[in-house]
Amino acid sequence: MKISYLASLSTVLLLTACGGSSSTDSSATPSPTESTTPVVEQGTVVGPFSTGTTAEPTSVYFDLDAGEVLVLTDEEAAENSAWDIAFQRTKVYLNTHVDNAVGAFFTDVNSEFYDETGAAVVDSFLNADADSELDDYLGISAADIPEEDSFIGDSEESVIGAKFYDYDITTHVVSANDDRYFIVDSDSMYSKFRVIDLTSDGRTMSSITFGVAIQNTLAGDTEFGAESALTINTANCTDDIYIDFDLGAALSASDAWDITLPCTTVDDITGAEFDIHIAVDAQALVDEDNTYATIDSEAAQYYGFTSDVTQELAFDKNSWYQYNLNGGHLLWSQYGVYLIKTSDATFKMQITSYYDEAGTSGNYSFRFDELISE
Amino acid sequence: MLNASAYGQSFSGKKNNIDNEPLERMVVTGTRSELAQSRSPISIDVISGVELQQVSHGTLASALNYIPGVVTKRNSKDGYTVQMQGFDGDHVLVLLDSQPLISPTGSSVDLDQISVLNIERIEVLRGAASVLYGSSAMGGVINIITRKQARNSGKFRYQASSYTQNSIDSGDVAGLYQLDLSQMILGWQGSVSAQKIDDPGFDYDENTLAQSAPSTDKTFVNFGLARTFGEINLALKSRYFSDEKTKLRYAIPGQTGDISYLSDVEQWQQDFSLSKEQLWKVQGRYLQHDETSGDSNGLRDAIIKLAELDSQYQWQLKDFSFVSGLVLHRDELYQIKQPVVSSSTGDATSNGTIEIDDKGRNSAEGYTQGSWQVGEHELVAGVRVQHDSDFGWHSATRVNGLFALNKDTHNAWQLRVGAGQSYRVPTLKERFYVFDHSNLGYMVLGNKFLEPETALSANVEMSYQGSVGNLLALGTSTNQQRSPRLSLRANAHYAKAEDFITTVTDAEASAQTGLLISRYENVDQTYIKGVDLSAKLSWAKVDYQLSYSYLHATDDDGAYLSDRPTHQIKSNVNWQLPFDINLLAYVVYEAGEHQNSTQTGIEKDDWLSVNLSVNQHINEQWQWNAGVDNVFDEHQDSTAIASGLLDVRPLASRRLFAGVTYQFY
Repeated sequence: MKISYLASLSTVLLLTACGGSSSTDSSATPSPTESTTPVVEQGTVVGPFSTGTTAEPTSVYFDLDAGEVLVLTDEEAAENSAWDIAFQRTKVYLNTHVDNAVGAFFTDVNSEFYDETGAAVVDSFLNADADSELDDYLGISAADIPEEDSFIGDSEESVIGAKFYDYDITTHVVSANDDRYFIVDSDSMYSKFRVIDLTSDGRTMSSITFGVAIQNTLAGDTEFGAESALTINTANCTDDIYIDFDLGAALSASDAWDITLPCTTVDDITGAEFDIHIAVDAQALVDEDNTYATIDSEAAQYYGFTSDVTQELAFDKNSWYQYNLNGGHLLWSQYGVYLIKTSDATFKMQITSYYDEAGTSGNYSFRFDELISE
Repeated sequence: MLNASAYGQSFSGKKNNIDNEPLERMVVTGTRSELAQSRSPISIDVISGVELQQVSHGTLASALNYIPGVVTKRNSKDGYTVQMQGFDGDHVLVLLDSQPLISPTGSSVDLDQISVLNIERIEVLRGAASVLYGSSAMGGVINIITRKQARNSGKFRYQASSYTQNSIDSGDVAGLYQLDLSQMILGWQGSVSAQKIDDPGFDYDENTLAQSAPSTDKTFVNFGLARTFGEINLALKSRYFSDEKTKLRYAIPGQTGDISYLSDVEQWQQDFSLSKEQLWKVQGRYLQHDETSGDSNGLRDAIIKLAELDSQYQWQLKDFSFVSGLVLHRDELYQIKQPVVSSSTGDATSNGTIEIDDKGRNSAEGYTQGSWQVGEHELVAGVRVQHDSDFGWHSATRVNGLFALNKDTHNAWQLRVGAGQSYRVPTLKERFYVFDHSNLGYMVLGNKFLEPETALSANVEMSYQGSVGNLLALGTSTNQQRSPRLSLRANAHYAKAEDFITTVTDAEASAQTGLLISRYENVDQTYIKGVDLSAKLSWAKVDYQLSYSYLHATDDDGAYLSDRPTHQIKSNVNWQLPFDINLLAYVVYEAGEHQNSTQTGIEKDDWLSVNLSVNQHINEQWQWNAGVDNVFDEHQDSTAIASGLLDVRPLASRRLFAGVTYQFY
């Protein structure tokens, strides 16, 4: 475990050497590691670190233990366990590496920045700065660290994935969840389906039966048609299975398909995985209670269609900023204090600014310190 | 407006011997040929350059507020645009010597970028005129006619002004400097005029960081050369304009610095004109506008170019006279969001983001308007056909009629009617814009498939020119001639506009990207109807004018259009006093504006501006002027605006001013 105060000081020294600001891209030179007496006060602000522009975003990977920016490409970062937290424009990411699955917990020290309806209290945001919010930050100690399961990491979620079946952990029986509907927006057509039956063979599926209803907007359909059954035999598959609901058949990968099930072999049994995906250019949603008898294509963006896999970012659950509070298209930090749990330590962290001294957006400044029990 | 006799008295220092007999003004805008204002089949208002000087502070920004039925609006770039007959600035065509200018914001020309210095007159045509002038001439045309110097002269003017209690620093003084020279040399009439405006801006609340109006530094320079070769007139003109604006806006969140709105504009214009009086004319214009503007943390560079060659020919066929023309036009636009610069090294850390990638459009436009004179009556019909490199063919037709209801020129009743089509072609921004705020969840995109906006419109106007005595049939003819001169006008207009361009959510693109994608589309319909009433009275040494405009503008769903006053009243009094002193007072009142969809309530939906000025010719060389604009300091409440309320009062300030003019020769 490295001393975070020392890390902070190292970063500050680097910033001083650079003229008061860090390098503004992810290729910044890491901080020097010369030995220094750790006399840095809690709450020292580091940054700004540039995350590029909207058109040319760059990622800043930060190692809280070392207190420095790591120079990594996005591909390298995906395999790297040293960094803890990353920034790219308004998004804040946590490392999900198996050796350093970082979690975050929001202490909500500035809950008064929102009123009882959840609306931002504009004056609270506009009048806050790093100095005025330092006491809130300093007030967080190791005593505020919650149980481990309170920390949330970043995750990925398939819009359909394994949601189409139920698994009984006592009997180990897999059965179709025929109460859960999915709507796929693909090839100018909406396909509503549910899985009404499936047959397991070992840890694979040998067949699956869908209930399918189609709304073909190109053909002028204004609502879904009647549901019809479609059974696909997936036993002994030789390739991934691609299904087109309109044609009611399994096709090849190069055709216009709606959903796909990976083909797998487990314990010498070949069949489909219990996993459903949609095409890259398709969107889907879970129609939990079969709510939608129709999809209004003009308002499709409001239904909540998403792509096949979506990232669930821990920082998105408690946004660190508010946007456009005074008409200037600016982002204002709520100065909330996040607890960041890495594989080695727990830190507190407060984002103080999204701008550099010239007002250039995408430049993160923040303060962080390790929480050590007395 | 003042009539000709009024300002003739005011500024020549000599009384017109023909009491109450106005000088007939010549106008060109209604027919593209010079004819008397009363004979124009399309109603034209005229404001003279002298009047403009009296009601302006160097530019047309506030001056057009003086004209009945014209609504001036301040835009987001602290520039000024006009509305006419319910159409906003994008649909009112502003011309300089009958040719278009560059529009830094969409289709609307910034009136604060036009100097009043060398203007002879402004002609205002209400209603549609796309047949003669093409795109954007839907709500009206404002044609600025520059001066044709006919004598050697030299003049310098200085005016100082103060925003009184709204000054940013006490003692702030805005300066206006004008130099105007004209000299005949070797048969060439040469002219040079220059104007500088140094304005510190104003601020309503010194306790807030944000500044209300920017500090500006404007420079205008005009060069002109003209010569007559027999019947051929040649004119060459160059115009230079620069404008720097700065306005504090926000504190940088989490930092100690501030963000300011900045604007740095340079414009070069080259004109040539070759003509044979009342027969043919060829004129060309090349205009380049370079602009860096935006908040200091997100500046954009724009290069806008305009080139136009305009030729017209007048011809006669028995009882018909025609004017035909061919116009070749090109627009170009390049816009880039400046690259991010490291605050520590000063080096660019990213490329700029191109928002409009050096796009252009070409158009070839041909028009013919025929006029049939039947006694005192006149019928006019015209057609314009345009071929555009982007959307192909488009056309517009219109008919107008002038009917003299009696033959007594001292007691003239006239009826003018008109009906036809008008249009506006999509701008390059509307076609090709890429505004990327995807990190905040939205984008605004242009649409290259846009078609022109169109409107069908009609208007009827009844006017009277005569005297109070004649109108009321009082007394003898002598008494009638001494009776106050009276001019009355009532105009009703109606327009149905289609395919208006606005940004709408692109559902498919939004679904695919997960962003809110807005795209320009031809979707809106607008219905506009209204009435303009005007009365002018000239009696002895007093001229008085009162006008009222009513507007009813709705969209396809019957919802009122925002940002337009329902009622407008304008009034002015011009009084000629002894010792060659001239007093002018004018009042503007607007009311009944409707909220837009983002406004949550109404702070104030009417406003009143009272303006006073006085000037005097001391002798042939010296004159002085002084006055106060916006006497009651009527202005918007910034706090109310920030909290989403409708406040129609302008971003303006009381302004005291005083100036002196010296005529060299």
